[in-house]
Amino acid sequence: MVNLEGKPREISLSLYIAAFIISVVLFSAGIYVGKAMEIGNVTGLEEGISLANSKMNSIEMLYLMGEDSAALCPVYRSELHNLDTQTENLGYQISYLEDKGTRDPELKKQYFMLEASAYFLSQKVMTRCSGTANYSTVLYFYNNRNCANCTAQGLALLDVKKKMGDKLRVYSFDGGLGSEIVDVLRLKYNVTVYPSLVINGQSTYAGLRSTSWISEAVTPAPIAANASSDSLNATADSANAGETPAPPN
Amino acid sequence: MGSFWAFEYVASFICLFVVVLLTLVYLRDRNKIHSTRLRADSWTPTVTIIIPAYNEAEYIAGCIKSVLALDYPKDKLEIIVVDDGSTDNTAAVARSFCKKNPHLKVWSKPNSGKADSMNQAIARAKGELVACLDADSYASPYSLRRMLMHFDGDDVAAVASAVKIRRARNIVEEVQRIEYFYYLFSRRILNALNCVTVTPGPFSVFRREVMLKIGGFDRTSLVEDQEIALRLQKMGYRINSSLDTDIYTEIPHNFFELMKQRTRWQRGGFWNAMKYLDLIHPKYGDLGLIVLPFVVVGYMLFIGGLLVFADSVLNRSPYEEMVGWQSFFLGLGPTQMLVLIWFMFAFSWFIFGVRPMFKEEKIGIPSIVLFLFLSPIFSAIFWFSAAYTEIRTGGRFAW
Repeated sequence: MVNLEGKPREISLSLYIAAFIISVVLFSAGIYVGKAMEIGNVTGLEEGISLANSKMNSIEMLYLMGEDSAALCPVYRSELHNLDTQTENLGYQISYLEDKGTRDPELKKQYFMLEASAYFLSQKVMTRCSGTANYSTVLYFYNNRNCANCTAQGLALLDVKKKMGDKLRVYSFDGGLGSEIVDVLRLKYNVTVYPSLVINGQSTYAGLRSTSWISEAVTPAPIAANASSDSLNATADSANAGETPAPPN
Repeated sequence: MGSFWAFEYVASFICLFVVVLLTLVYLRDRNKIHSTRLRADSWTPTVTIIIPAYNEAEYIAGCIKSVLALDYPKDKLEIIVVDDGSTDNTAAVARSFCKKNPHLKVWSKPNSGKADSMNQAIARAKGELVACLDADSYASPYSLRRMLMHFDGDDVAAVASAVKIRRARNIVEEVQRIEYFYYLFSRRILNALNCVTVTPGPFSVFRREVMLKIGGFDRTSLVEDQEIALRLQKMGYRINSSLDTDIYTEIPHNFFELMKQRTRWQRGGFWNAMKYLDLIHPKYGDLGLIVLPFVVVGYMLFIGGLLVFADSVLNRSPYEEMVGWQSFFLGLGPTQMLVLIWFMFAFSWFIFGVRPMFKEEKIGIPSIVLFLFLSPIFSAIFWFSAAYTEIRTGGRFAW
């Protein structure tokens, strides 16, 4: 019988080197294409925001052309509904991308501008088209960088939104990005801690609020014909310890 | 990027390297890999076929018939059926063939396990070569002659057969059917590197003298067919893997039977890898430098992969439901691209390697996709099952 112990065995070194080089090339290509797709997702959302802004400009133009007449109210409502749906969908996509690790502060700032514009436009339209609004609004102020309860607050709002659908519109603003429009809104609604909720543009509630609390607080509110979005009685109601104060401006 | 992006990148690169390396081996040695004989002459040594059986009354008759039909000189063939303390009529069924076939012997003994049964039979065997055939497997008439064509040197201690599944009747069986072709193909590639690490239990042929020298099969191993192969490799022997020597075996018919089988394989494979960690050394050539290290790394990657999967499930974005189908495209990134590249390689293996190699078999593209998709999921479940069983039994096993 042959004695084979100690007999040297072959090492296919040239194959290993070739395989390594090819793997590096393929790996790099994969990373490059993947990164390009991530950038493409962000670009796609920027285009979505741009389209939504165009739509909003059209609605504003209609609003201005209608002067004080309420004849176009059905058109306003329909177009606003489409705009809000579009805006919400963009917001979910941005949040989903953030959860996956893709963060773009400039994209979010563009989105906040769109949200704020859509919110105030809908306020004005509802003022002209007097009657009971068939939905409630929540302005949600949070800080992704420094807020212990913000994740929980976001999930609670999402739960309520899933149950109420179109009867609730949530406008979310990240106060930690240095967005001017968010800073102005915080001043306007006296937001001093995170998280904070502004219900139907009238009352500000600081601290974490539960799903059941939010569900009771948001009820379709009648908008009076001469209601002004500038008059506010902000109620700072610190419900929970641990809320994060917003930095002063 | 997710929390585990560094692990995902490293794991992806390692998997990519392995599949690229094996592809290069195939391209370099494809003539040899597709070859069906390695020796020019026709060699007919004396052969003892050992059929260990424990409660195999349902299958033993078919198995014995297939061996009796082997295209091999009867005066050079000895058949020993080892009834390992069966409680059914396995022995009686086997003995019914003895009268007309004097070269067939049936030997009943107290139950002691498959490995010990084979070792005792090897000690009694008269053949220059010993072949171990599972009682629920069937040899094609030409299989033995063709396997002997792969003993192309005195350093070849064993030849593995081409184990296949005759037909699949459901998805679980179809996944296994494709899997067996994948194993055959990848083993042929590893053969080109002299890195075959298993002599399949259904049918393998060994030099008797070598088996006696190394002490036979390990009675304590759950997968003795893999353990003996690693031991042979350690001692410097070669193992060749044959291609056109069709051996058909019975397989688990449903997922739970499959899980029971693969739990044993996973447990046994893990402990074999731990036992032969010292094979990871450049002195063992490609086996020690690439194949076995990647087996060990594979275990680590698998555990890491489970953690990544658990993280993705536990930390699933709450916005995924709101985003709907768009989440698929929004979730695409570098890791997904790397997985796609690996998948394309794996798919190409089947299209350009496995299907041409087994032209006469029906290997459809839907079956290939089904296998590539379900196999990792099944493996993850079997791993959990193996870990749980190991903890629950404290490492004990039964035949």
